[in-house]
Amino acid sequence: MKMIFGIAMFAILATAVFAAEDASTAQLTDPTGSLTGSALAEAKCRVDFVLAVLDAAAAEEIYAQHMATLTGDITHLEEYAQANDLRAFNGYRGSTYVDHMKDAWNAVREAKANRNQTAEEKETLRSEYNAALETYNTCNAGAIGGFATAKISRYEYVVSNYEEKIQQLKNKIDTTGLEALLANAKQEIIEPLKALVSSTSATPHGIREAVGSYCLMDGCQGGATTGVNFHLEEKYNIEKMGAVMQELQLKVNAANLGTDKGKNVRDNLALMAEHIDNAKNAVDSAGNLELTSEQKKAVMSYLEQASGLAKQIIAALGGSG
Amino acid sequence: MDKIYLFGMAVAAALLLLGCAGGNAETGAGTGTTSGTSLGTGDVGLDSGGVDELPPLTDEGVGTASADEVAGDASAGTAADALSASDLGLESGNYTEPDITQGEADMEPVEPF
Repeated sequence: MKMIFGIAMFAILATAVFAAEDASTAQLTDPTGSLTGSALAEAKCRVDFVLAVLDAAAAEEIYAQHMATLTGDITHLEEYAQANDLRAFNGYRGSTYVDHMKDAWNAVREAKANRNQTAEEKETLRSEYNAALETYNTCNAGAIGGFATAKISRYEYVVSNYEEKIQQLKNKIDTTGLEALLANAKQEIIEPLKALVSSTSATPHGIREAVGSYCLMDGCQGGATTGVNFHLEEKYNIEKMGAVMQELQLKVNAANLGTDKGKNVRDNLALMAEHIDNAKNAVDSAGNLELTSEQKKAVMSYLEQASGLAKQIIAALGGSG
Repeated sequence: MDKIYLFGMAVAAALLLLGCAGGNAETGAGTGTTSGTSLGTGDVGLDSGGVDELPPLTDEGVGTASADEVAGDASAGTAADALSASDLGLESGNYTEPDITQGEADMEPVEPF
């Protein structure tokens, strides 16, 4: 009996230890699912709203037609969300879904124009519309709030991934610049976004503006006036390749390479510096604006060339820099 | 303390240690070669943002690094010698998040009365 008690006691202690360990790693869970789920919920809120208004204002066949179309749209978005295909999700939501929503509201407009409403009918419609609007406002506020929270969590998750990568490079290159970059990303994107979202005066509209104004990578179309696109991915790669180059420079200076090999390696280092500068200039020229796909391709091409040269230099140094 | 009680504790402790050793063995595989201080070709790969990472790719270009150094940064998602311009150039900016800001003006509600 006492032996069983001993084992049980130990099991309880061990469970507590593992639970604590789980709690410490829980923050590294990728919150992409809840972000996409909130985006889907936001789209559904709009559909429910317009269908409720159409149901009250338009003929039954008009309502049925738009219900089928918009329900189909939500099904498509759900499929993209489940497949985690966010590019397809955004593509569909930004074009087909928006067009169909616009059509549905136009149908409301036409129903209103084609119908001579009595004062009593108008009052009924007003009452039904206001009820639908109230439901929408509640639904929308929940979806937008959830989206903003999930967006912040995802950014923190991404930054924590980069922090781990830096830790793994810490003994090999000077990571000071990389660490400063992450600090800037937090300061310029995550903290302002958090402040706006958690503000007591934040409205769903204000929160929507905020999530469209602070992007860790790209995707904020607010532009120069309101949008801040940090381009973390490109900046991280540029900073990392710069630190790699500096480290290789030190190694090359210390190595006893032959004349030809030494010249070749130094030429490669110079070329590497040029590619990194080109990548940096391209990112800097975009400022807070989104990088176009052409700019992204150009930047990555420079970085790939710099990376290829770094590999050649490391090989010339005998396999390790 | 009763001997049988102590025996129970000892058995449980041994079982727990075995469990922990198993867990470490599992996670060790991803990080075993990253502790060195020399820069290997695996360390110069480009990062794709920590999410939506590209699948590992093969680069048959340069390759005189030792096996340990080649595997150097594998746990960070950048397999050694895994990057090449033709493989990565167009796909690197793959971080995406859902956009709920599109079409706001086009979806303005209409009062039906």
